[in-house]
Amino acid sequence: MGKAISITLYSLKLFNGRLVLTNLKENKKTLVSYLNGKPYLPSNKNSIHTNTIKPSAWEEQNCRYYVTCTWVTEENPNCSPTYYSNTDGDDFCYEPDNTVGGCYYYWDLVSSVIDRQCDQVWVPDPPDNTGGGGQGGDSPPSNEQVVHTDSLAAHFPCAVKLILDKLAENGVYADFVQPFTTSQRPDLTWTNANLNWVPNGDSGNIKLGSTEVDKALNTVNRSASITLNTSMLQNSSQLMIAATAIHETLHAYINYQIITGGPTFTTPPDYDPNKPWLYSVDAYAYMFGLPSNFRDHWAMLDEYFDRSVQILKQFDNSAHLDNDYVMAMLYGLNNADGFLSMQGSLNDEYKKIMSRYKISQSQLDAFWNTQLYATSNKLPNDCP
Amino acid sequence: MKVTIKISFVFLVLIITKASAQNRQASYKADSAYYLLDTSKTLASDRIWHTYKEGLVKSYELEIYAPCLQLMNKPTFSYSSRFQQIKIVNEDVLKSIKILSLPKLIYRLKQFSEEDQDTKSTEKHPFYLYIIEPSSKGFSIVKTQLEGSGPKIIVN
Repeated sequence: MGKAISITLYSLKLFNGRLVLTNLKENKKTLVSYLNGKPYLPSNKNSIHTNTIKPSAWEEQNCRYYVTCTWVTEENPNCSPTYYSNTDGDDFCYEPDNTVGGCYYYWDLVSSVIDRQCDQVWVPDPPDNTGGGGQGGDSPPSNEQVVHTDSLAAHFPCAVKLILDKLAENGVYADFVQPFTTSQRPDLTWTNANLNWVPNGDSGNIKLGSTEVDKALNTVNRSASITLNTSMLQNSSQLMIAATAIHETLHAYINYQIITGGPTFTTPPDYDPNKPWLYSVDAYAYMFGLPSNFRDHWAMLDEYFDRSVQILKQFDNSAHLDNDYVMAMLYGLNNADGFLSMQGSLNDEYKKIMSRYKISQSQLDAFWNTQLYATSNKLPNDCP
Repeated sequence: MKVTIKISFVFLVLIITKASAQNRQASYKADSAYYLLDTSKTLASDRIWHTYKEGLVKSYELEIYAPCLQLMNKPTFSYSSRFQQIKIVNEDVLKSIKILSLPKLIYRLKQFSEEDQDTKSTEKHPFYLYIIEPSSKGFSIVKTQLEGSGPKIIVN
């Protein structure tokens, strides 16, 4: 008589933690996270990821090391080969046995090269807590976005819906945001706060938005946090708010680009005047710590200005004159952040744009006043 | 000629800027730890470390979740090959290094993240993790930074 098997049932009703589920048929293991008794995809647990489409299964990258080992032995006419190469799933080299070549001799290891192989693996649904089998999850989720907009949406839902979401429909703008839209770092967070603002007229003392990035040189932190001025969201035209959103997004994007790609420029003698201007500025910024505001604004004037204007024009369905988009995008671009030695150069670049579009300073001031203290086309309070 | 003078001037100014920036950096308080990572010896389904590379930046993401502590939420340690060189050490050197276990690393991160939450953004300090991995010549060590740690600046 065999011993009676005792089965203990555990309730997962309030279970928090991770369980390893083994698929006995395929002998595969899946690590499943539970919250209050229900399986969840941890990256969706974070409530500030407002735009996340919640998949019930997910894709992840699995990497393994493999080693290629090359062995050699003294030449023996009765045995072959004298070289032997094998690839192991482990990172150690194991000496070939005497079946290789048909006779016994010692092998010497002459090289071992470790490499990493990564595969995108689709992790299927775990069974639910009622004991049922897997469900759904036949294909990876698409269009996952993790730009954090909850904080801004809580106070200005229409800023998210009418400005950020609409800008994201533009392919060029979407390229600027794309690095921040995966579940991995870096992240982009939008919020609002009271920044410098004056009730009437003196638009030069107004700060429409700001972007917080890492301060340290040699940093790897590419995430950014964008703050839009609460007064602007309450008082300004949607056109000006969109222009500010593009401007601040570019700060985040340029910071990301510089850290991720980095310039190939190393020393001044290598300067190549045929490369884009950003090539050299990025190099200087990396090597010598140019103030970010100056660096970014020059890049926005030189490398990204025309694209910014086109994004804004498309956002607005061409409802304004072309020069209006230019004037909206020019706001703040002559700010060198106190980097006086280069303020003149930045001014020159700024004036080149004014000259190209035949825009005077008085036109700029008048346009900004109209847009900043708008009487129409402001954000509505309610956004169904 | 004009361009050469301009570049030389910029170069000089920037050398001074760099020196002063480095001095500022040197004054940063930093936290650091060593951790041995060997994903090849862990079943894929059991791994909570995920690595990925983008441009010059390589990242090691720890799959733990803490929505209330931003730095502890999927903490990601990264380095740029522009700034960090991988060093190779042998087993003897490795024995002389105090390596944190995973539970201790998580505990240390929790402490760091809680302190970070109460620190002004301009006074935050970085957390460096020296990640050690087996390599064909022994062990590789590289200095990574916890993404999101460290002082911040604001541009507008």
